[in-house]
Amino acid sequence: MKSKPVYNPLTLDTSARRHVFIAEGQDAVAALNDIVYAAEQSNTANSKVRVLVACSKPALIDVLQTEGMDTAFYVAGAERFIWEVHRMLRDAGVAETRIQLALAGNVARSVYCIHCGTIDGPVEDTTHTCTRCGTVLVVRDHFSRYHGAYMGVRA
Amino acid sequence: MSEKQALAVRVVDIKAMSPHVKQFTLVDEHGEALPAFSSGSHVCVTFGDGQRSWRNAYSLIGDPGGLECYQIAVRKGDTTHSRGGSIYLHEAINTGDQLQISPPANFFPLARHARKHILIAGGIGITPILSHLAYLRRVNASYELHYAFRDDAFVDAFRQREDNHIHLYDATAGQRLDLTQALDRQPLGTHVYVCGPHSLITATRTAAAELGWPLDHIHSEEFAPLPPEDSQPFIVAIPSYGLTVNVAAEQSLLSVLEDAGVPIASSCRAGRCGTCRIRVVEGVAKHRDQFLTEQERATGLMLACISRACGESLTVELLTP
Amino acid sequence: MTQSERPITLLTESLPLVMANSRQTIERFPFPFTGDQFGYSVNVRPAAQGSPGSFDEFLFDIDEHYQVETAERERILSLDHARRYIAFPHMIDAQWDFLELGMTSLAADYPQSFELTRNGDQWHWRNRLLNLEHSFTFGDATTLPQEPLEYLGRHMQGDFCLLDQRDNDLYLGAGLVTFPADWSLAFNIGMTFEHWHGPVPLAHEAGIFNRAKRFIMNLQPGEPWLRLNWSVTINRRLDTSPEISHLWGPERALVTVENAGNIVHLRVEVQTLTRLSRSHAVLFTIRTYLISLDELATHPEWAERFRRVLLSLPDEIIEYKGLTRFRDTVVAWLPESSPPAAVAAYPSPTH
Repeated sequence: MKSKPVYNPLTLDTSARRHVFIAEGQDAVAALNDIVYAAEQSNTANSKVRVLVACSKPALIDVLQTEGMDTAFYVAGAERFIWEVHRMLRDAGVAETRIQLALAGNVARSVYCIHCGTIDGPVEDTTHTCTRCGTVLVVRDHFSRYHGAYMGVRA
Repeated sequence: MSEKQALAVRVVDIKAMSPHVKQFTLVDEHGEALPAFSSGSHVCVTFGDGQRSWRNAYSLIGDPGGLECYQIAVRKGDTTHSRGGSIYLHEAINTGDQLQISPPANFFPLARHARKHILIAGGIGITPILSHLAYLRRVNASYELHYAFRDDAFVDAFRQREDNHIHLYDATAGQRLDLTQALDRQPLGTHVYVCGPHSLITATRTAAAELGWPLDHIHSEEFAPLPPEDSQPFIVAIPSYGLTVNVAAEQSLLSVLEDAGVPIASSCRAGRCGTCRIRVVEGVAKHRDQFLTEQERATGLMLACISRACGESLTVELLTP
Repeated sequence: MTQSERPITLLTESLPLVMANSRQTIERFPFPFTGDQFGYSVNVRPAAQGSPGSFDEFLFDIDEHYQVETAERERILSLDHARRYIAFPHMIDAQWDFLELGMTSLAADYPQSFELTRNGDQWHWRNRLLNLEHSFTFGDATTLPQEPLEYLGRHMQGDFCLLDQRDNDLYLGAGLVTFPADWSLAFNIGMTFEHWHGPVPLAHEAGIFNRAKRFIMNLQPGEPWLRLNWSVTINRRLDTSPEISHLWGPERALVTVENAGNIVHLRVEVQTLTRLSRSHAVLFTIRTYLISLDELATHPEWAERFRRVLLSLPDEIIEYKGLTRFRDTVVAWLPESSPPAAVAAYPSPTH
């Protein structure tokens, strides 16, 4: 399924001069340890590293005001979180090629009920009963980055 | 085959912007409104003297919001246009004369979601940049313009209007555009548009990369001559079908293969969709499509509907499905 | 323009429409099959080049179902506006491009039904079919009762999407979609071209969407292109959105050899792609035509070809197009071919 995200291992973006790491919580911090270390060790002139843990949305927006075209971003957390941050970064003008995402913490899925618009999660199975309209849904692999959720359609 | 409707226009004004640059103002021959366009667009102007004919592309330099006329700027003796067309426009075209132009096309559009736009122009490359500037000013977008010139064709208008986002570099006065300074410390969401000599475009990309920019935020337009429209006949061989056939000047390779019974698929028949792609086994293709990447062409792919041979013959094969 | 909207909720009613096809509508039906085998391709040809009276004579086609479709659109928007009309703010320029293209086309192509008068940016639009007229300032959304895409879309047949070309990709930036063939605007909004086509089987591996995307990204103004898409709908339903699949889905189980002629419909989408002039966005239109098997069978060669195509379908396509429950029944209903006759589908692109 073309829309289902594939999360490649994080690699340090050597075309960038600054690196900002955004972790949802402590689980995500662990997932970022290696790459943060690599960034700190990299001998790119003017290279700078910044790590944000459990950052509030307003605080993240403030951070983005101070970053520029030479920054790469690395985001780790649950699927819905990382895509929410992805959207914030894109809205702030970050290039798609400058954002890398990693799943950490609860890897279960969020499900968008196509019938009533509710987003439920985390969902571990491939079927789910919508908590609002009660429809029994099949959880498809079709994923929306905008909603940060997979499509659920009546079984 | 889709044929875009040519527009008949009349020259209503010719203004010498400098000894080598003339600005032509064009209106629709029948007094209708001209088609709306997006900044960065160009038109292909077809003209001739009865013996020679030319087809040259010129950027529309005006504000896209005004549709009563189009304006283009022609640099005389411009080496990017072969065979003397610009000289003819300068010397033989007068107010009141008619020209044929294509509807506008745009390969250099603005990234409208950008938070800031940096415009970089070298020489006559200022032409598409002028329409971007007019649009950005009208919508109150954030911009910077860097104009490096030797010929001061459009400089007066900049000097007359106070705007500290406009930076001028007069090469005759030894002023030099420092690209690193122009691109340094720009906020997220900045896009760059550069038009001018190849060296300026390359230098911009190099400076941006050194500053840590992602290169997909650098957009460029390089003025290159349009491929000549005249086609030459050639011979095509397709060994797996045991065929060798002539392609006349007025025939496409695709139609000849079809007539010979080769089961080649096609769709747009205009060099745009890639359906009729085949592989060149021997000979050199003359590419006229707008679809294949350089890598694809390097692996021998060509589009049968629109491309031809550089020499007298080609040997081709269908792709295995 | 904001509009007070009902909260999104589970919809409970959607009835089939009362709209049989006249003889003339059957004659001009966009029969999509040029061969007996199913096959994926980019399959585009120039739009608005059809012969007089044909479905593709004009870029925007108005037919005898205009009143029924516009009324049904209005009904759906009154119940479910938030999911059927969506537009990101940055698409507003593209919306005005669409309004200009739509109004100028309709006024030129159907002068007895539509009239457009323009004095600079003061425009006056008259729709005699809906008995509506409106004066407004082009470019000023406060002078229209809805945003331009919705405003004009309510006067037209077909669904309309605006694609945002940026960062070397195509994004679904806005849409007025009330008659989808089982896809959701609300779910797909903001997706890239290859992602919103994610569910289509086989085509990605064949490189279809990569080539289609490149074709679209190379579009220039003034040259609209057209392609056809097909599926099957049970009962005369235009709205087969996934949002109400709990209402139309169960009808797939009702098909019998006795009723197939009446309730099984071949659904054809005439899709067009046009580069818009000022915004450089791409207009993607989907104009849907339904024909019952009984109506289709008035052209025996069409019915016979449709049967052969259905028999040629790979399992994944049968599943994807929702035909599993009734494909065999429909094949049993359709006539087997007599000696193959020349089948007049839409002209193959050899002009």
